[in-house]
Amino acid sequence: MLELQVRFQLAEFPLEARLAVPIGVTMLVGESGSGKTTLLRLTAGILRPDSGRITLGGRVLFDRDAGVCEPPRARGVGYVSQDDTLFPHLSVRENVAFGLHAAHRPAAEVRDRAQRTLERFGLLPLAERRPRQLSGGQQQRVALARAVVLDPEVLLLDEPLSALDLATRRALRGELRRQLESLPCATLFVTHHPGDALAFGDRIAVMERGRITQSGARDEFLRHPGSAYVAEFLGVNLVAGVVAGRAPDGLALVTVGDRTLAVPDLERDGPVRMLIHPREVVLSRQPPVGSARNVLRGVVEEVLAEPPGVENVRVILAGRPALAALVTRQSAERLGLKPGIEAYASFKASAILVLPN
Amino acid sequence: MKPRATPTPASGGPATLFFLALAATTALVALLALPFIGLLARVTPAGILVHLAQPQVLVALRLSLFTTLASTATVIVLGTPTAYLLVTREFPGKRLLEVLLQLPMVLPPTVAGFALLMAFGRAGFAGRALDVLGISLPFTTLGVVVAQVFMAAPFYIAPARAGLGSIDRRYLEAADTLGAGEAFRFFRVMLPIALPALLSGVAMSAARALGEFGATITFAGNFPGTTQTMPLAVYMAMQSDLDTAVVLSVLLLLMSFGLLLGLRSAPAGWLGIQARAGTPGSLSAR
Repeated sequence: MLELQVRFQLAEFPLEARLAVPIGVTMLVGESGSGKTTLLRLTAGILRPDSGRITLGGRVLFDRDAGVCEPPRARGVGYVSQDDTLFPHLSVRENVAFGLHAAHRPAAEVRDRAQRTLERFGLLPLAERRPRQLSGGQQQRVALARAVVLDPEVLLLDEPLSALDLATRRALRGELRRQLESLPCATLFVTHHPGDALAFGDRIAVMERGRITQSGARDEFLRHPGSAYVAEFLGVNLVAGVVAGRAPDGLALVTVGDRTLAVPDLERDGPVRMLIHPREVVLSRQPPVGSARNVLRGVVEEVLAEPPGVENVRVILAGRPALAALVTRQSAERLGLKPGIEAYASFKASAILVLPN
Repeated sequence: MKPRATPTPASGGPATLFFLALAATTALVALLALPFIGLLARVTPAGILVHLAQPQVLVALRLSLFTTLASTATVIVLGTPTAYLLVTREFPGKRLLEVLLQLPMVLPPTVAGFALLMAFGRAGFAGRALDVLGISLPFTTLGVVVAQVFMAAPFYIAPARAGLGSIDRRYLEAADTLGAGEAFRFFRVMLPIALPALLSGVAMSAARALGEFGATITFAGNFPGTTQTMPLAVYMAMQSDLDTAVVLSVLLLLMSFGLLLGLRSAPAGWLGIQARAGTPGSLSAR
């Protein structure tokens, strides 16, 4: 368990954060410039808090009042920064072995542990390459392996997927998740990407202007977004309903407001909470003819531009429940979607993610 | 107008600036290259061999090689930690120290030699102390080495400092969080990454030591076999045996050229290093 309570003056506002990071993955989300990276650097010992206390499993890493400030090398903290920081003059194998050599482990142990870690991260075929001969995704894997080989008590990951293109990012997400789940350490994972936050986190902490404004289990977040920022950040449809029966094909029928949804993988009865990602929702002006099990009719309430530079718009369909759909700007124009227009939203049963109770 | 790969002046007519720059470069290259050509035109390979065999040439050559090696090694051993300190630490008097370390670059070598003599000569305060230990610098080979170190050290420290200081600090932070102590970090991260810059400094300072004349002759004198290095031998030969002077000069020219070409332009790829620019001199802010 990593426990932080730190203060550090940033250019525009003070960072004042209190956070506990248990074993497992905690996602630290927030906008660029909210202080996420700074919090990691304070924990790693690269920056020194103005005041406060940082403990790791009872061990004091920093305590201003007691005059304790362990240097980075003595903290047992693995830090994978956003940028590529692989040593350019060392091979992948030498990069991974770096920390073991630095700790003056016996040569045989260094060889063994480096070899096992390379194997585990699928890096053996690349072991003798230099970092510049690797793709962005491969470099990221090496950086993670280089930190993990030391069995850190805490792993700090600063947007490890941000430098990657979208396809690589998706592919690596699953792999990274498996790797992180197998680690017996507390991981603090910084991202400003909602997809990452939902894909990885057992727990989520939100940082806004230097403060942790909400932290807790992921599902709790989806149920009770603590602020408008959180709700918007997560940007998903969260709907609550009650199981009403079974369809002949085995799908559960769930009553949501005045509608009924077909939901897969639902054995239990009673109330359920479900997520439907807006990207999975297809909009049309006529009743759709297709394989999607769920078709809802509604009236367009709002057409919201996504952040500038993104060619998507978010369409809110009024009704009980209201439903957000993500469509390209072109599609929205072609369909003539604007407030007051009647439209149909459709999505497959498999697009529904049932949250555990 | 066709698109161009290189920027062109926005005004002043097409390529006017380019031709002016070309003319200036030509004039400068002529000034630098013509003397070399004049020198090279006077020798033949056979002539070089004949004069090389002369004892006084061989003796001067051997002394120059020995003292240059010794002074360059000293400069590396003393200069590298100095550059490291300047890059990683802040301390009072740092600016003064920096100026002091640059001073020999602009000081007339005869003044440097004279100052060395005042300090390390028989009557000098440091000379008397060394005398007790049985060490004498003036008019000895050791004195030649000291004069060369004095004159050449700044030529190593400046690029070494720039090289160490421009290492991307994220590499250093990575080393820190991976548990590296300061020494491990220096030898395994900083030294290899800054190696091209350090080698460039070695080339500059070795070439400077090899060509050292004024401080050597003032401080160490001009004794064949003990203190008469090649530049001094050239000066002596000019007054009696022009051909020998030419051969010695050509040798010096080739050695300096080779040093600069070999070490100074050592390509980064050859060392397996991809240089990445950082903020020079920013390390000490931590």
